[in-house]
Amino acid sequence: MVMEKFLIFPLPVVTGVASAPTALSYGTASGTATGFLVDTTATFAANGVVAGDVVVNITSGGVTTVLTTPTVDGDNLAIASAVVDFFETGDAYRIMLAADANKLVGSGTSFISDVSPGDVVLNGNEQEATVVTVDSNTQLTLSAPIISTLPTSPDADTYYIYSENDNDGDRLFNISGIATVEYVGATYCTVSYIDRTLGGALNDLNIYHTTDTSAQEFHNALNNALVSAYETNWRDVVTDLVLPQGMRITVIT
Amino acid sequence: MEKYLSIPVTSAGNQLISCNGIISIVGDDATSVVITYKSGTTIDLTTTGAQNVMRNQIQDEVALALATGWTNVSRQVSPINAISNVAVA
Repeated sequence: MVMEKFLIFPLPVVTGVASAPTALSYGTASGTATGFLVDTTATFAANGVVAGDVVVNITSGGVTTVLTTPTVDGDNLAIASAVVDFFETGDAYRIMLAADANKLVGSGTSFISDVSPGDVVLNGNEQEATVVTVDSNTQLTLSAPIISTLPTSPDADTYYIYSENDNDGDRLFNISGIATVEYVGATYCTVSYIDRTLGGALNDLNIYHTTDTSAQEFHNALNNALVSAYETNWRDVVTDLVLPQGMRITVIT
Repeated sequence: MEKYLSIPVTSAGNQLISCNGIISIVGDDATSVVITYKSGTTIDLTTTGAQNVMRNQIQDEVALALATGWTNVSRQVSPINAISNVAVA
């Protein structure tokens, strides 16, 4: 009798790179003033920034709006948030057109069939929002402005969508014959099987995940799941991988 | 019945190493113990000094792990010498 065991890996149902929205203006705060965004090099007026536009503090994740339409470049930009030090010197920011800020626009996507309200969207900078509405096959409205094609770093246009519905991304992962599970770094582990490929090459799979903020947390979870699966009765072929709090698997290659 | 050694690796936590399908465990040199599987896949444990001591410990731990009941899937190993790296080839 061959005893096969599998873990279930929750993978995204859709991944891609957004083609929109983009930022009206972006940069780095060069000073602090409560109620203002200070960037002496910015050209907010020339960029068409107006009152009501959405201001995202990329560094902290904070979101506010433009309070007053700027009329000249070089002045501090008035923002609605009165939080002291909403912007610290060095914080990255972007300013989005209010109507676009919470959108995710894909290309060649089938959002209507693949995505549902409530699904979770993760961007390349590991920020999350939920899907509020599926507007079309290529556009979603999200609960927060996490998607933007600019600035290019940190990455806010790569996206991963996770669903808990019938069309979720759960994938069986065969753990039979694993030689070892290597902690490679904070963002991935490598699983190596004893058996090699038909061509004789090493049979490896890299499991990429959101950044492991504590030492080897994902690696430990995977090890524990593997051992637990083999400790179950032979009829229990499938075991869920319990991810550490807040972590997600992005891709397996 | 899958069996694993759980071996602490410097700065990489505990790494599971399969005890199944092994054809040899060799102390390649003073800093390396190489586990070779039937398929030809190898796992090279980088350690320090006393290769035979380390090889013997790994051999003993594999034998002990394989001799346990089927629900004892993982056997924790406390290496005599620290293992600084595990390379699969």
